[in-house]
Amino acid sequence: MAILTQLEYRLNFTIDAVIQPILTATVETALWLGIFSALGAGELGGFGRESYLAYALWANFVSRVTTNWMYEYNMLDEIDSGRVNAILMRPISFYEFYLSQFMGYKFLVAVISFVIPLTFCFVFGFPVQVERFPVMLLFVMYYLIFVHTLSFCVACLAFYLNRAHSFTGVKNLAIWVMAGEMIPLDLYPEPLKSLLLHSPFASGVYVPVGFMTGRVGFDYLGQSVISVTVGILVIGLIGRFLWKRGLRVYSGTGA
Amino acid sequence: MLRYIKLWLQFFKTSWMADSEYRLNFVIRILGEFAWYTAQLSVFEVLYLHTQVLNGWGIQDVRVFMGTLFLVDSLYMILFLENLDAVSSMVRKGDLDLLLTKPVNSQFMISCRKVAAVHVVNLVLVTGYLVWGISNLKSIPHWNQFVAYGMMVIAGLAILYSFRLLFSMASVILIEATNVQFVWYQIYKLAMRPDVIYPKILRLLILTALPVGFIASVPSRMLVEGINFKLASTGLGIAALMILFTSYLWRRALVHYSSASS
Repeated sequence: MAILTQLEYRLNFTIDAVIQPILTATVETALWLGIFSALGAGELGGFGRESYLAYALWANFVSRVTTNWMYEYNMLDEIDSGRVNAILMRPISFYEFYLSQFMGYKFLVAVISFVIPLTFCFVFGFPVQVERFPVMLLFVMYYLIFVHTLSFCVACLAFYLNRAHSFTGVKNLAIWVMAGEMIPLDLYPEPLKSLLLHSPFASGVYVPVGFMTGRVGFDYLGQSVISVTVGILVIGLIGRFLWKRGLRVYSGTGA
Repeated sequence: MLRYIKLWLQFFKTSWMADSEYRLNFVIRILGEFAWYTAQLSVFEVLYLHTQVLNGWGIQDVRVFMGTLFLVDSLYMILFLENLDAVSSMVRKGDLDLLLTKPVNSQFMISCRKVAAVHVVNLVLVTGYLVWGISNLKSIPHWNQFVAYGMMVIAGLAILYSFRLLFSMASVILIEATNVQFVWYQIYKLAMRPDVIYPKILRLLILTALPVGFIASVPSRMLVEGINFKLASTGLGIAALMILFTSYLWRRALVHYSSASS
């Protein structure tokens, strides 16, 4: 249903899934080309120019898939406005309802938009391990459960605060840095590097992109699955607590 | 002119009151900006751990650039951001009609009626960062470099405002142009890196046809490399032209505007 709903607004979907990432990737590629030309060196932190270009290209597409703005705002609005009452009556929980919507939409965006960096890599000869694509896609979908759980926690804040939307921005910006979208995490200095590489946030960009471009292998992917699982459990418990307590203080405004 | 200044001060007062009504939200928005600054700074701070210079620019030069970018960005956010971001939805909902009936210049109304007071705190923070960046330059710039810098910051702000208004105007003509706004954010990314790191063609592009290089790169070059009269005069000329052009286009766009609420 979520997939069908998204395809209803085709222009909006095309801009979100295709046009925007292409523009971003073009700009990022230009930036890294500039950085390498300004550096005057063929290598940075042990990786060559093509490796960084591939990373910059993939990072934009992956981060668009692994970031949640729209559905988090929707969840916040539902609780804030009292429209959540309608969902409370359904035989599906609020968490599950939005998880299905979110996953459906992101799966579609991922499958369509990942074709672009794959094509770019083939055309320009950037390093890419195509055979890893299905595993990477599965891993990204698994990470999305963690993303949704985080969004659920933020949405629950609407039970307690009048304006909780600002948390979404802060959270997403913080994840933006910790996931390695702007710069690969292995370039960071120690101990920040180890800390970020072992956090579940690395799975938002660095791990799937590194996996596709050959920066990391199956062993590191396995470790990341564990850290994401721990993240889901911990954040899930916090979310459950916030939700249960929130329902008690909820006055059903708008009912 | 005095009337507009008084009106703007009134806007500022009411915006400050509205923003500080929700204190936690106020603090979170400041933290949000802080996170954005950290994200931008992390790119160069990390890159310079692996190299000494990028096309002759050291980390201390880039810090002045980043400080300048944040300064222009903060000023833009305080003065115009919330207004221009809202144009698209105002057109869709028909709220623009109400503003057009006010007995003041319509461009002033759509650009200045809301002041993002929360960003004043960020302005103080980024000014502190910029002063620290300048004090770490190899040589402290001469006073006339500061004068040129100030003028170029104003020109940069004018160019940023004009670009943003141009994109907002698309909504007045097309009614539904929410996604067109996102194209601007991609173009703006080019302004978020010092022009010296770009290949020659791209540098030429952002200093001529798509003059986003004047937003932060050119002002910071006045402090880092000394006054470049050619660049400074070009920047001032482009800023003046863009302000006049957008003002003309705004009047033309209103002619094509078909009220959504009627």
